[in-house]
Amino acid sequence: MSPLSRIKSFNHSFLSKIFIAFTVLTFLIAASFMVIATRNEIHNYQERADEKARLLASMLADTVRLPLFAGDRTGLQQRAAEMFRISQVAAITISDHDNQPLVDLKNQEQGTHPIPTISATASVRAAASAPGVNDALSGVPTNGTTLLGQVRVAIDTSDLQRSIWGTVAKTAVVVLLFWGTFLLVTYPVLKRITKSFETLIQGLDTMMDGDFSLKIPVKSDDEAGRATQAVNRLAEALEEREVENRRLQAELLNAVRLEMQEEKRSLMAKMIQTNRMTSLGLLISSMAHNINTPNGAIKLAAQYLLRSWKDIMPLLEGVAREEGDFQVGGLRFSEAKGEFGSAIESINRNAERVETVIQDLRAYNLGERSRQLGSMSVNQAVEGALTIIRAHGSQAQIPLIPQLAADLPVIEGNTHQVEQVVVNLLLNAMQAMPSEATGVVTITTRHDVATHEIQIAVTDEGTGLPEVVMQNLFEPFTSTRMDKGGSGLGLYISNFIVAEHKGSITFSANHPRGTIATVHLPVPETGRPNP
Amino acid sequence: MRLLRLCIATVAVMMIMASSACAYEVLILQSSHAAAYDEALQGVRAMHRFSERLLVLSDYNHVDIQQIVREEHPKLLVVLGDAAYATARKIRQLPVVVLMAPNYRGGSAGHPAMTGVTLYLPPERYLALFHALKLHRVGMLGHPGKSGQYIRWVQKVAPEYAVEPVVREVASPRDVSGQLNSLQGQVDALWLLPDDTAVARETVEAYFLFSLQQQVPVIAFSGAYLQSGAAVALDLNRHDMGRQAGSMVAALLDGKDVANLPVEFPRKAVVRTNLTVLRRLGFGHVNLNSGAESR
Repeated sequence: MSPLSRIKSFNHSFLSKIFIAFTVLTFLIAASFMVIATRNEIHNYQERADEKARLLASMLADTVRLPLFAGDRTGLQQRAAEMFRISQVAAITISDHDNQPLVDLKNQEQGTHPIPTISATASVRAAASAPGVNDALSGVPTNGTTLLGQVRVAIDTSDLQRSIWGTVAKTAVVVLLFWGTFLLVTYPVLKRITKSFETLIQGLDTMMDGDFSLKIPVKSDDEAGRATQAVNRLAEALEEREVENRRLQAELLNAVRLEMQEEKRSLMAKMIQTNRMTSLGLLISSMAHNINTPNGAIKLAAQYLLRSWKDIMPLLEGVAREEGDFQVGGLRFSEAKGEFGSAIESINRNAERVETVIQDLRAYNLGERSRQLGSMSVNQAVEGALTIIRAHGSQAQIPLIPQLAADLPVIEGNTHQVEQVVVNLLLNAMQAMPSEATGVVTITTRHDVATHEIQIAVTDEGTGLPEVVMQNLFEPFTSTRMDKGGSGLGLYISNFIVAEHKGSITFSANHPRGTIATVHLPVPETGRPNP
Repeated sequence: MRLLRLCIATVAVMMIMASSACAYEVLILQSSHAAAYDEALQGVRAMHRFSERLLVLSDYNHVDIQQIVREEHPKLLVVLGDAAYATARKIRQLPVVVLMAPNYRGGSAGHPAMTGVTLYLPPERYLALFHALKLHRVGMLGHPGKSGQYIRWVQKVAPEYAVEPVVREVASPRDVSGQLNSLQGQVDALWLLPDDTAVARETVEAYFLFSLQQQVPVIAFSGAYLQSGAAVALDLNRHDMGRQAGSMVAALLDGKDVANLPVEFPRKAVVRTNLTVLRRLGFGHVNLNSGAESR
């Protein structure tokens, strides 16, 4: 380290700041001491000089009482000269009670040029302790004493300046010695004291670089030592925290990775399901086409057969009348003529039914007329749904019990969409039933006059809905049967459709077991019964 | 301020006049409130019962005694102190008995009917003391008009006691210092006379300085000077002086003429000493019966 950088480092160090503060403070204290001592010396000197002047004036006043009273100038001169011989006495003035100076002695120097003096004046009065004749005889002291005159003594204070400089010089030497000694003693002491801080700061610098494994050596048991211990503990805690953070970060990354994989898998399953549904739709469409063509032929053939049967019937009845009841298909004609007609009608009817189913499947698949809203019968939609479910065939062993109210008002809506909602709910209900198939699924329609709505309730006796599923029922891709081919879109779509009809779907528990799914559809004002 | 004082004085006079509705025999004028006057007055009252009115002059700024006398018709005036004595000298229509007044030196003092008790002890008392102390040359300072008569009396009887008075006259207190200087080496003792020119407050210290420098004792007329440096003092018995004056009052009230009542001198005095001063001056062995009252 170069000397310049060392000086810079010292200037910014804790030690230098404390040392400079101590230096300034002690200098101020020492200077204050010097000023106070000098002022005190001046004050004492002036006080001493003043006291001396007063004392000398008082002494002289006692001495000159009788000569002053007698007007003895020689005596006064003699006594003043005696006092004038005292060192520092610069001037003596004795004046009578009319302030007429009787004696005026001055230092020769003072005559040529003025010198600084402090003077005091004392009154000369008759002795208070000695009474007059009247006082002595009457025992009554007279108040006050007669003023005989006054004396003034001036003390030469020209050596005050010399005394001040002497005091300043002496105190300055003492102060500088004290200051120097103090600083010499203070510097190593401060250096020793601040050594702990230096070690601490070096350790903190290391820690700032991210190395918390360093243990700063504790060199004292004072505040710096305790601070070092605290920093060491803090570093340990930070190090532990950092290790923990790294571990948690790794765990988090792992968990995210797993979750993403799971999500990906789930998404893929949904995509597969959607693809399957799409394929199913195409299959249905193809099947409808393939079924519809022969079904049309069957229907036409049945119609032709029926017309033909009706045309043949009179001929056959004539034959029977003529030749007697003959055998047709193992039955006598009288029995077979009814059965045959019924069979043809049955073929026709079933062909029409197949046609209807095929049309419904196509309509469901293609979503035709999905946006067409008009007056609709809820019961008709429910019956359509029941037809589809029954045609579905799965869980056919589960009894479906429709309880449809007869006097339901028509509402504004799309029959096919409502039918799709009911199908979804019925499928969910049937899929929720246990495999033993001991329960029933009931579908009920009713008109709630109070709330002006039609309710379609699908009640199952299945396993019920877990709380977690209940909270996310209408979220897309939410299904308890994802592993069994559920798409998780049924209720999401159903809720969308019902919301489009300004209604709602609610779920509640069916006691003792199962779930009740209720579709609430509002009745328009025109459809409401008059009160 | 002056007007206010005049008003107060007028009110005071009116109060005095109002309070003196009853006639009395003796009007007592006292210079000021002092225990010494009270002591002397007790002596006066002890000798005779009389009705009185007491006026302390220091209580008033101005009081017209002439008017009081004219209106209240007292038979007699008793005065205590110099101020009362000076006032009483102007009351010429009444007999006056003077007491405790240093400036009263006997006689009528120009008054038609004045008598009293002076503050001068008979010289024999002092001369006997000097004799006992073997002091032969005794310095005396006095104003001729005030103490001349007494000094002459001293000079007359002194030889009987083997005492030589060395007299210096002082016309004013300023002369004291110089006259004392003239006594240096001339006297064995200094005799302080109750003369307010020779013994002024400003000059009394000179006697004791002289005593110190010349190593001679100062014999004073009052014990008040003992603490200032006097060696011996003859303190007058004020109560007895009052009794002397009381006898005069009784005689005057009985109709006796003032002319038949000569001035009296104090009869009793007490010798008091400052033993320290006496020892320093070489009189420690002398027994003066200190503290005892003597005739």
